[in-house]
Amino acid sequence: MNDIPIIMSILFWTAIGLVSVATGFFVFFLIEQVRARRFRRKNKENDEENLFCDVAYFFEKGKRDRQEDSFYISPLEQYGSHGIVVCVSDGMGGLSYGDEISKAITDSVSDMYPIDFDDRFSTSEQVKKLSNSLFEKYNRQGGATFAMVHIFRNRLNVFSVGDSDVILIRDGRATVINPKQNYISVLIQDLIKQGKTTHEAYVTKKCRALVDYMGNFNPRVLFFQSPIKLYDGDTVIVCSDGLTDAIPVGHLNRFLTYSARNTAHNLKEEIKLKNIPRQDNFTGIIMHLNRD
Amino acid sequence: MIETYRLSHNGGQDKYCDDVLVRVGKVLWLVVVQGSKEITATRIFADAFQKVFATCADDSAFTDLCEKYEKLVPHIFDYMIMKVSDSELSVFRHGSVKGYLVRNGEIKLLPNGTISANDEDRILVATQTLYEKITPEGILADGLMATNCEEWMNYMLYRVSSLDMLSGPNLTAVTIMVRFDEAMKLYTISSKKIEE
Repeated sequence: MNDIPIIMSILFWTAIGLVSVATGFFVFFLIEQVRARRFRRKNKENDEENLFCDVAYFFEKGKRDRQEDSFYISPLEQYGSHGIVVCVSDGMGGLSYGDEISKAITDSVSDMYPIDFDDRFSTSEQVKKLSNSLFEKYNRQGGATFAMVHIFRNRLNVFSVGDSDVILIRDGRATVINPKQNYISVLIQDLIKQGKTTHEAYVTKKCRALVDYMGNFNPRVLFFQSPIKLYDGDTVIVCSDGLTDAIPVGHLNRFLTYSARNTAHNLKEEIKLKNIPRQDNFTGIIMHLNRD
Repeated sequence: MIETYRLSHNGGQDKYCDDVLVRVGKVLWLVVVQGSKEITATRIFADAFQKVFATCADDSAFTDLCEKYEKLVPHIFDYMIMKVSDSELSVFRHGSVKGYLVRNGEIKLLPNGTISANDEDRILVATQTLYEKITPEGILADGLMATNCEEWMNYMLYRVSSLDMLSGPNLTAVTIMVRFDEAMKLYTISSKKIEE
């Protein structure tokens, strides 16, 4: 009879022990779950930060006597730390020094690299200063366009002066994502304010003339107020109008492949195949963003 | 600050059939109605739209106006009602008039209901005729490139113009930017007065 309290006591402490162990396992399980979730989330974020950027380019004279386009691609080994900067500059036809000026622009962008991705205003001011220095040297005897993109951690900044194109191809749709600073845009605004249709803008003499360009004094540098988010499968093309005059923007997606190099090859060959008389210089930099 | 710019353009048509009502106080009230091809029907309801809209005040409940319009507007009309304040965006849409929100480098279709407003939110409300001629990426890029609402509208109209030289149907659109740091102001310019 005296054994009963002892047995009860043993059972009691055994139960307490079992509950403690179970609680310990449960707490351990919870902590592991939280850690695993954090790890998965962190990995997911890292994946998003590290979309692979496959780059290729073409740089052709077309049927012109001189190559007045120029381009720059930043070192790919610094893609992880500073992103990639690519730039195309197209010397203005009919004026002198187009080739010199476009080359001076891309060389200066090379000197600017690495560029602070988040300080877009400073970058635009640097571009404006560059234009002012070209103005002092050439006094509007020549000029060039400027289209630059900066991709960093799946975000895209665009800077633009003139009418070279930055094109985003997403879900099979190609869209030019930088406005053109030409006379058509000015005429269109006036006609719309008058409530008219805009046919007149396209038949006006010299409607495609630039209203702003590099080499002008204090040009307006257009840039994204905040960057665009990029996704797996996006393609970004920076090009001179020699490409978009030969191949309509809406048709560009037909030449896409999984490799930037093949896409560049397809586009270049298509323009050569078209054999357009007086084909302008054509330059294009293709960037495929993907996880592979 | 809530900045807004309004476009009401005939396109290539003789008559402007849509309707845009904007009221800005501490909050922005907006109603966009896509007109019917039967111009007379649209005009008959225009006064009624205006009368109901005039009852809006800063502190009016969003659902009250929605209910009034639901009773008033015949189902043949597509329309969207929106209220924008510094803290939230409320949307009610019926049919093809819709709004897009540009935020954090992305573009999203505005759902019916209320969501919070953020600094630098950019909103486009337009009739289907605009969306048929511009891709979401175009709206997004133009919204991010523009420093004000009028500029955003001009960039988008350049795209539309390059396709049809604005010779198609009526075009109606409103661009809105939400900024937390400046006094409220309003820019509204109608490219052509709605016929009385």
